[in-house]
This record gives sequence, C-alpha cells and structure tokens, in this order.
Amino acid sequence: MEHTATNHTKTYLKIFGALFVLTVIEVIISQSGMPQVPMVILLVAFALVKAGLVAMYFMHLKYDSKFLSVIAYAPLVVASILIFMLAMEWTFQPHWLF
Amino acid sequence: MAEIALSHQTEVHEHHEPVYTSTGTPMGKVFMWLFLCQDALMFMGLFAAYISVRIGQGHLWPSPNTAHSTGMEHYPLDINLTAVNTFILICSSVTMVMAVQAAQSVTKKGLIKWLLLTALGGAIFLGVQVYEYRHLVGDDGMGMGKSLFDATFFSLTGFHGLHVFSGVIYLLCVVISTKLGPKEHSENGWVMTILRLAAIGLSLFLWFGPLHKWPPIPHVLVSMLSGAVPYIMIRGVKWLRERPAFTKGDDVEVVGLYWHFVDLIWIILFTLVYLI
Repeated sequence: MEHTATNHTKTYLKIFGALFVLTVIEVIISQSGMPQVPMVILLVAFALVKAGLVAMYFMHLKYDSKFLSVIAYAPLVVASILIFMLAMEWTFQPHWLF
Repeated sequence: MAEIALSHQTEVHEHHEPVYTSTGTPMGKVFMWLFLCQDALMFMGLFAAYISVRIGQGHLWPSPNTAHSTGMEHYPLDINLTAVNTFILICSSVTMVMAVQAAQSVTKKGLIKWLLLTALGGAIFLGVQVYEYRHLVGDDGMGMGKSLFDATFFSLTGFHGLHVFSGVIYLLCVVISTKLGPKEHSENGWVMTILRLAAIGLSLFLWFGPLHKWPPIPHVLVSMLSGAVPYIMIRGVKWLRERPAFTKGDDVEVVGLYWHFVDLIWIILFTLVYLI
C-alpha cells in the first residue's frame, strides 16, 4: 500500500484554530445566562462539531479508507440508541401514547 | 517542516514491515480502532448514566446557569481553569499529529521532540486535574458518596484522567524506545507473557471475585482496572521491549489515534459536565 508522507501542517493549524475559537465561544455561551434549552442545543452542537473535526482531521478518518469510518461510526449509532432510551426512561409519560 | 530529515540517523529495518489487512489498512490501526470502538461504548455508558441521572434531577442539578437563579451558594466547578486545561489537551493533540508527521518523514529528532511535548501536555492536564480534585474534595467537601453530582463528576473525569495517565506512559515508552533505536533481534517475551497473564488474572478476579464484600469499590473502578487502562500501559511496555523501527510511521499513528480519542472524549465531557 502506498503511504504518502503528505505535509498537512497547515490543515492541522487551521483545525487547531477552529477548536480554540469554538471552545472560547462555548465558554462564553455557558456563562451568558441564556435560556436553558437553546443553550444546551448550541453547546452540544458545538461539541459534536469539535469532536467531528478531531476525528476527521487529527484521526485521519477523512484520508483513510471508509472501512475505518464504519468501525468508528458503529458505536455512535449504538450509543445514540442507548442514550435516547435512557433519557426516555426518565422523561417518558404514558399519557403521551393514549 | 523546519527540521532536517535525519534519515542517516535512522536505521531502517526491512524485517519490520507493518502487517496489512485485506482491506489495505495496517493491522495495528484496524485493531486500535476496534479497541477505541469498545472504549467509546464504555464512555457512552457513563455519559448515558450521567444524562439520565441529570434529567431525573431536573433543575436541582447545579449548573453554571442555574447557580444564580436558584440561589445556590456557588457552582463548585471552575470553568475557566478547565477551559485552559481543555486548551492544553487540544495543543497536545496538535503536537501529536506533528509527531505522526515526523515519523512518516522519518525525522527521529522531530518525532522525539513532538512526542515529548505531547506527553508534557498530558502531564500538565493531569496536574491541573489533581489540583482541581484537591480543591473540590478539600475545600468544597465533595466526594464520591456525597451526591449524584459528585459521583458522576468523579466517575467521568476520573475515568478520563486514567486514560490520560496511561496515554502519557504509552507516549513516554515510545519516546524512550525511539531514543534507544530499533532492536536487532526481539528476545523471547516472557516479561510480556507474565504481564498479560497478570492482567487477565486481575480482570477475572475483578469480574468474578467477591466484590460484594467490598461495597466501597464502585463498578467504574472495576471496569477501569480490568479494561482499557492496563491494556494501553501494556502496549507501551511491549513497545519498549520490542523497540520497532518506525519505518512508515504507522505504529506512531496508532499511538496518535489513542491520544486523539482521549482528546475527543474530553471535548464532549467538558461540554456535558462543566458547561451545561
């Protein structure tokens, strides 16, 4: 298999900048005193974007074979179901159905 | 890259060619991803428990936003300090990718420098975390058994901190091994065999042993001791004993995968536990 030692330094620095800026915005949002629901949605979205940047660029998912991406995304699907069901257990009200 | 490629300093050993799977991806990488997959599920289990407990507690849960409105004394966690810590961990991720790049272009000096910087970042992160724990336990009187907030906080950050700890050891093993240079012949691995047997024995004991007699031991500790953390440390020791030549940087990339994963988990943890 061909292995090219491409120089990604510029990309890495851009990602670093993006991660830094997103973290600063997150900290500002969390202390801004905005309403709970939009704040949580914003913060979780930011965290997922940051995690995605790390996985795509630092962990090379963008450059590697799709096979590795399948391994990487599988637990996310399982975990989403798990977290969703656990959250339902706490918040679910039977009268929603009837 | 500013460094000069010091290829003459590096002994390239033809016999250490990475093994590739039928998908064309190196074996080590595929298996590190599989390991990360199960480790991610372990973290997700903790996150799921945290989220459900937190939803169940509703507005009683201390958060930086509700601290003022509900008249709670103060929000115990220091967001600014931890934001700096997050920044340090992100920096260490950047130095790690630079290390992988140095390994791919066979730059021994660069590899050692970037790996050391990465390990330093991890060590500073741990230092700040220890400082934070001392403050929370000593001054604020927090503790595992005090409240659900405390228990989930220490479980999540503690489990992650142990990952960072084993990652730093892994990195240092790679640094020492690179410094010493590749080994000509690998000896019989009796030390590795004993280590592996000890780890398997410890795991079996923790899973099937008389744990009900020790109620103070939380199950998180069991999974920590029997799972990921010793595995990564044993990988480090194995590297140190075998001292492979970093011909194509694939092995260093595997170390990098683990380190970025630890960073990735922290990004989510920081948002969920500290900011929301």
